[in-house]
Amino acid sequence: MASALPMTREATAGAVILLAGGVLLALTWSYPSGDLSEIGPGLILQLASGLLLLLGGLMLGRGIAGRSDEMARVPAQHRWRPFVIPAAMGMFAALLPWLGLALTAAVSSYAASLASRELSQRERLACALLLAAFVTALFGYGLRLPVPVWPRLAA
Amino acid sequence: MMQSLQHFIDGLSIALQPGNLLFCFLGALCGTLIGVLPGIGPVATIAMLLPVTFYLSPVAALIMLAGIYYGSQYGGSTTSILMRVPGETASVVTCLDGYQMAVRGRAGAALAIAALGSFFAGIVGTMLNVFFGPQFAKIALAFGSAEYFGLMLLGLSVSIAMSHGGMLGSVAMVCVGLVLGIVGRDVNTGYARLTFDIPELSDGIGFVPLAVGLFGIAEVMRNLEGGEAVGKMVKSVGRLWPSREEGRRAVPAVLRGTILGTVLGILPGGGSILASFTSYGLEKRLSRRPEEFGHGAVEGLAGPEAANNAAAQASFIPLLTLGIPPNAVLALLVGGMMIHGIAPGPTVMTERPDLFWGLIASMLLGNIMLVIINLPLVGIWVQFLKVPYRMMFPAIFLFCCIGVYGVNASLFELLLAMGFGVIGYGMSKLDLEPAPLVLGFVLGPLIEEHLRRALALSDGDLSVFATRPLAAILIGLALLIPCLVLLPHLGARRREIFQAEP
Repeated sequence: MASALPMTREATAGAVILLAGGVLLALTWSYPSGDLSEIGPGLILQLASGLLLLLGGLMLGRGIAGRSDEMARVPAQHRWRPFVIPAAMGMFAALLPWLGLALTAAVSSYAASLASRELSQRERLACALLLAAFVTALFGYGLRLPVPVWPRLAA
Repeated sequence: MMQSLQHFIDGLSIALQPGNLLFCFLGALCGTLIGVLPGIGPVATIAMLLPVTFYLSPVAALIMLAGIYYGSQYGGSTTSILMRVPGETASVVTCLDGYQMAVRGRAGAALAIAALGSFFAGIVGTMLNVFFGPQFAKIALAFGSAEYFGLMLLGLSVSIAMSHGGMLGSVAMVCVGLVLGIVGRDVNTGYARLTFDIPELSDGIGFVPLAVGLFGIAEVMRNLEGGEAVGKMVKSVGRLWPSREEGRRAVPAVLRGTILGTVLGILPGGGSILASFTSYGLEKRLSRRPEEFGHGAVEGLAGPEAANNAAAQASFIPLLTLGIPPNAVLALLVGGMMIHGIAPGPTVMTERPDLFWGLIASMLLGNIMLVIINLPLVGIWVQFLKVPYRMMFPAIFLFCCIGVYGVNASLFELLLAMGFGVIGYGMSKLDLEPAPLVLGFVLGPLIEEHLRRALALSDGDLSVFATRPLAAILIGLALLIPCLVLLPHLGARRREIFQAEP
């Protein structure tokens, strides 16, 4: 699966920064900037977005001129794997209020372990259960983190 | 001077209280562990442990967190030497010659030189805190907003000049960090900036979700992508004592590294990474045998190791006296102080002498403990390296989650950390570094505040930055340093140093 344009790293980074600067400028355009003796809440942000635009443009230009290396490619079938981790973190946030610490820890660390293809099913389960037991004991009971340990069963 | 010594002895009696001694030991132990383990660094660890410190006394909490910081500098060298895997960013340089020494059968000597060099530098750095801390605090009291502005600008500029990636990208990252730091209600006018009407954002973005996302989550993601890196570990450690010849070559390098590290550590934005890279460059230039560098030169190991630890200790000076955190780890320490209602700055020394001197004295004890933890017990740490990453990352992930949630019991911050994790991963793909971003995040709001105040006092007259001598010098240096890097000769040297890394 080759992409159409062989973008260099620097050009891509420049484009992203250029975009970020543009969005920021659009968002902060209407903020009052004040004057030098009384700097308003917008001035620094507007300066920063201007600088981002400038830097992004320079990097894009340099990148297109083509002096930097091409981006390293990860085989397509594994590209999604790392993203399991933030997804599992979102899962942790979603489940914690409902399931309590113990179960959430077990479920989400199992989910996170799916990010590596080098674990066997048994290793995943053992890892999740041990970790859940450990954090429940340490954070739930030991340090009494302000979080329910078990799901609230009352309807 | 004598008065400082007296205070220091009082501090020792605080640090020697059993509870504090225990937490100093725990910090050193934990620091060594995470230093040894690649894929988890002091920033993520301290962020994860911040909620735990709620339950400790402020002194014990800071002693432990500080121990993690300088402990990780020791631990990081072990993996660098034995596996050519830098446990910490600051030990990237150690990989070059440390690993080569190990390959040539001098692993034990390399470990000993690294640990003893770090120890010496740590002690010197601590004593500098004792003698110069109070002097610095006096200077700090004379600092006006213009000087603070200049100092922080200098910090940012140093961090830009020293970052591994391209300079343009680093400046952009500082800007992004600055913008992220500014999110929230403006302190002066109450104007909501970039909050998108999300109530959780009106207090700004928390440092812990940012740091855990960029350093913890993103790092796990990056490590997973490549499959498992199989390190070629040097199995036998061998005799620990360096030979006479090695000792003779190491001592002057350690001395130079210590001085360099101390000076660079005091500079905000500097810290241990800058110190170790600069020291490596210096040793290579001074050496009569520069061709040995990269092939197991003792100086190339001893100098940077001493420098990074000296810098780690010295960087407490700007934190404790000026209230400016010079790097990401110490910014978290500020968070730790805030939890206990202590505002870092020149007044800590007078208002909380127990804290100031107790912390500094604990560094002396911590460094002694670290030599014991790291040298005779090196075998234990080597065992930890055999735990495969696939078994470790679910634990790192879970601790990241709980750490972020624990600080404010906020689900929103978990989502923030998740977002920053993805951003951090994307940044690494584009060769953009997170360190300048974090520094921009921490210093950004302070810079804005001091810029506003300085200009408000001068009634909008920009010449205030040129007419106050100290401010002018600081700003001048801040502008000069990036220009120096752009000079062809120095720029080439910088590239050479950074490209030497594996």
